[in-house]
Amino acid sequence: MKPLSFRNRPIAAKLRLIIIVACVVVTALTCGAFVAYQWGASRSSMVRALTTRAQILAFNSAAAVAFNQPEDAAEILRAVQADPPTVGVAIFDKDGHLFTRYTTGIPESEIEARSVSSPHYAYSGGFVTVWVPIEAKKVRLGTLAIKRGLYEFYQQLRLYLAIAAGVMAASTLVAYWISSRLQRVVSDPILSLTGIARRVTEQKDYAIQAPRTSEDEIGVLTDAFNIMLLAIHNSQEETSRLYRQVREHAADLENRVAERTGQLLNANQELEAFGSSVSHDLRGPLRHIMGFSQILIEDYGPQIPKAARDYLDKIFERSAQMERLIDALLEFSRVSKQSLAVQTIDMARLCRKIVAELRPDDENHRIEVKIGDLPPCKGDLILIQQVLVNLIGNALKYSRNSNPALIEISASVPAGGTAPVYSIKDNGVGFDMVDADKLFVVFERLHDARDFEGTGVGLATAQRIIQRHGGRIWAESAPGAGATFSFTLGDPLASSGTHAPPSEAIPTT
Amino acid sequence: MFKLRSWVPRSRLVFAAAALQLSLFSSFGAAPPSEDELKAVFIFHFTQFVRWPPDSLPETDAPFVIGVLDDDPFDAVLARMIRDEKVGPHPLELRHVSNREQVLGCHILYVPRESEQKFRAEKLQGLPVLTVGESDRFLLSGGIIAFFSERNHVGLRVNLEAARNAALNINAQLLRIAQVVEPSK
Repeated sequence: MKPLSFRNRPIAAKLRLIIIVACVVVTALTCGAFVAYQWGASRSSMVRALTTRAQILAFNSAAAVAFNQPEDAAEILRAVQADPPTVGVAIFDKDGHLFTRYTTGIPESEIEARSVSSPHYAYSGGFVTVWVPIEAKKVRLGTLAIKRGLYEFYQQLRLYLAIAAGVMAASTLVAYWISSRLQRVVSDPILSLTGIARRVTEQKDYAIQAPRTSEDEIGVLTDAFNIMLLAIHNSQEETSRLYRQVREHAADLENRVAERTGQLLNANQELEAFGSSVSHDLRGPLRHIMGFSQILIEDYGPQIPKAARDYLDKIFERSAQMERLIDALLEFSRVSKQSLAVQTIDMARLCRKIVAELRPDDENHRIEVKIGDLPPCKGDLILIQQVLVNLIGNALKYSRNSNPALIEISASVPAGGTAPVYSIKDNGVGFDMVDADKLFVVFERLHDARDFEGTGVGLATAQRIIQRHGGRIWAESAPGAGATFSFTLGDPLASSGTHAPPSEAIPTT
Repeated sequence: MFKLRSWVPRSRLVFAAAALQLSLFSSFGAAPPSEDELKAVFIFHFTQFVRWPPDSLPETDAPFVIGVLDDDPFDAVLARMIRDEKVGPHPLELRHVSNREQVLGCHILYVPRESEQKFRAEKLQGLPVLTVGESDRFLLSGGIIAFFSERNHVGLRVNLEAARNAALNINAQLLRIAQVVEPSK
């Protein structure tokens, strides 16, 4: 386990440490200043005393120096025996020659000769030396030097340092004791706040409120914390209330959607049933009309006047057209109900087959059909084939007045899209884009049936098939400029229940 | 024995005559001084350890006179020693004296050994003249200070009674290193 850094320590420990450090630093500074002052003061007072002593000796030995009596001077100097730290005294004459001296004999008692006109002192290796001039009536006679050890001061310094260390140790202990008690004033409210914050976090209970114990910043913090908790609590309640509301609404919506869908399905089924039964039921009478018309023409043809016979032909012809319309309508409604048998379809091959079947045999009419590189798709083969038959058939039909007729079947993948767009382009009569939205409506025709035959159901059926495959179909054109029909196929499974195993086999006729 | 006293004002100590220090002993060089040179220095130092009555030097620029009785080879040494020296404000002056009148103007009178016979202390009775001689006989006949030589050491003997008669005050420090002789006891 790695040691706790100060930053990560508990607040109580931090406060305690801060107080102790502050105490120790202050005590250390105080003791240091005191010891330094004592040391300097006692040294300078010692130097003063030593200088005075040297001056007394100089005064007393002036005559001895003046009248060249070294023995007398030596006797005067011997007085320093009374002060054991003094290791030597020496008198130098005016020229700096040793006149006489008193020495304890130790090596450190050697004294440097100096010529001075006023007192001087110097420290060297645990000793201090003071030089004073020897004068009589302002006439300089020589120099007296006295050298003294500083052991007692070092001893004193050690004592001071020991006392300082003791004071610091004691103050550290006292600081620890005091800080352990005082820090609680600050740390206890914080700890209680922390405890509540932890409870809130762990139990997710925002209804708790922290007790307020003081009027200071921690009190303010506690208030802010409580207000925050309250705000969270309230907003949480509001959120859950809104959430419940939203869920209720969603459920309501779902119900309504299901209800409407059911209604729509019913309506649709009724409509389709109606359509299919109407178509079916219309066929019966139609067969009778056609059958009897035919009998009339075949059995009584010669007896019927020419004009009546023409009418009969017209009745038969229009009845046949009505039969085709009814078939187309039945096909259209069948497309909506039939389930999809999805498989992989080779579109290029399928297109070639359809073109080969639909292409008219007319020597005089040149038709060029280009089939590009078409990617395979997935879908119901029969239905996709029906779409292509419709679109290619239209292209051939509406371009039959163009010579040569140019039909281009291609595919492209738009930027960012995944499903390929299949296009069938012709150079036929085209149409006005204003009418584009009528194209895929049942029985809506943009061209007269006398110019271009048709039921008006083909494109509606194609659109229904594409929609059932999850795709989209649209057309672009201008009158006389040809038309381009494009479609995409989505995921056929998304809009169909049944699924046939994918097959590479392409049925060819 | 020592008592701590307040810091001694330095100004009193600083006022040392550096020129004096140089001229007094510069002629010695490194060689030890001769006996005559020592005596000449001693005579100069007497001016520092003896106090004359104030009326003996009435004017501030009056010379301090050292007289030498009769001619003596010593005066050349002495003259060299005290040249350009002063006692306080008073310039030192060296004179040869041979009669009482001349002696009366002196503050110090050196009596060479050869002239001791001629010296009569009675004639100077009461005058503030520090008489300096070479023998005990000179002291006993009323001289105040006499040099003596002993084991290559020049010492001093002082006749305190004679000094008192001459109204001269001899410094206790000088007395401490000198031998005091009192002929009357």
